[in-house]
Amino acid sequence: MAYNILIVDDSRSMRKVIRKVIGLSGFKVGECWEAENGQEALDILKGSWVDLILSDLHMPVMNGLELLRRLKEDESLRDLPVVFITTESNENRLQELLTLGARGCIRKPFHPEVIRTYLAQIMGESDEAGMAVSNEECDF
Amino acid sequence: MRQEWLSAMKSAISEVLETMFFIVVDFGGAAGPSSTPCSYQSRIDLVSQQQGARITMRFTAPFALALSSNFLSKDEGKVPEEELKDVLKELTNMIGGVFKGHIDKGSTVWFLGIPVCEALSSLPAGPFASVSVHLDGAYAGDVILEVIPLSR
Repeated sequence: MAYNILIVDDSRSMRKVIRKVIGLSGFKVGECWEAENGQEALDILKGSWVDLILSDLHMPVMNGLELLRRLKEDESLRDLPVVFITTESNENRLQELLTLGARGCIRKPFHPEVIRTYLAQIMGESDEAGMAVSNEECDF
Repeated sequence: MRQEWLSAMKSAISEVLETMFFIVVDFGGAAGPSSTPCSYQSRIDLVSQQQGARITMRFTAPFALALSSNFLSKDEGKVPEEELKDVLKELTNMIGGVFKGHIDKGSTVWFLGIPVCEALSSLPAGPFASVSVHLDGAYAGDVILEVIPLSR
């Protein structure tokens, strides 16, 4: 099964890096959309099926916290897993995200393996069963 | 506090550059005139209830190009100017975030602003702290830390 992923970050270069990490992770990815902020992400979600959101927290227009709140208010989107990839390190703020229903928080700078681990957990595939590419082949 | 922040800044720079840019740098003395001019500048502000801080980063063109090509896994000649500036903003964002993690202790809670890439300015007079960055022995740029008024 291929999974559709939405990457939300105001940095185009960071979106590229995350996309590359996903590509090298070995998971079967169907569509991979990109949004510059929470509002763009909500617009994409109106017309597209997404299985996982990887989102920055601090963004102009609509930040990640507000995006998460909007998702939780929407009955059709509230179960969509959201993992934050953020520079935020304050434990209280990270805990707030988890309390609101975020599935995880990855701190920037990150090692690619961390994203891969979250993909494995959320997509419900074990390393052995789900990987088309091994660690050795991952050249990121 | 000055020494604590300077150590936190060096630690943040090393962590970010080594983890996501695969670059190991050395640190020299305070920022100052160099024979190799800087070409790019980015900054990010941090604010707490008590005070504000500004991190300004200035890099030489060769170092900025090396950073962006490593981050994007592209040949140095294939990184457009717009992408290079975006990488510098993200670098500044991450360094600011890690730095905040180091100083975000006790009752003082810091908030990180949005990074910007801007025109090169002259060195501020009497910065709170600064350090020069070197790659393979060559000057690569400066990182300057200022304490700023909250209303700024």
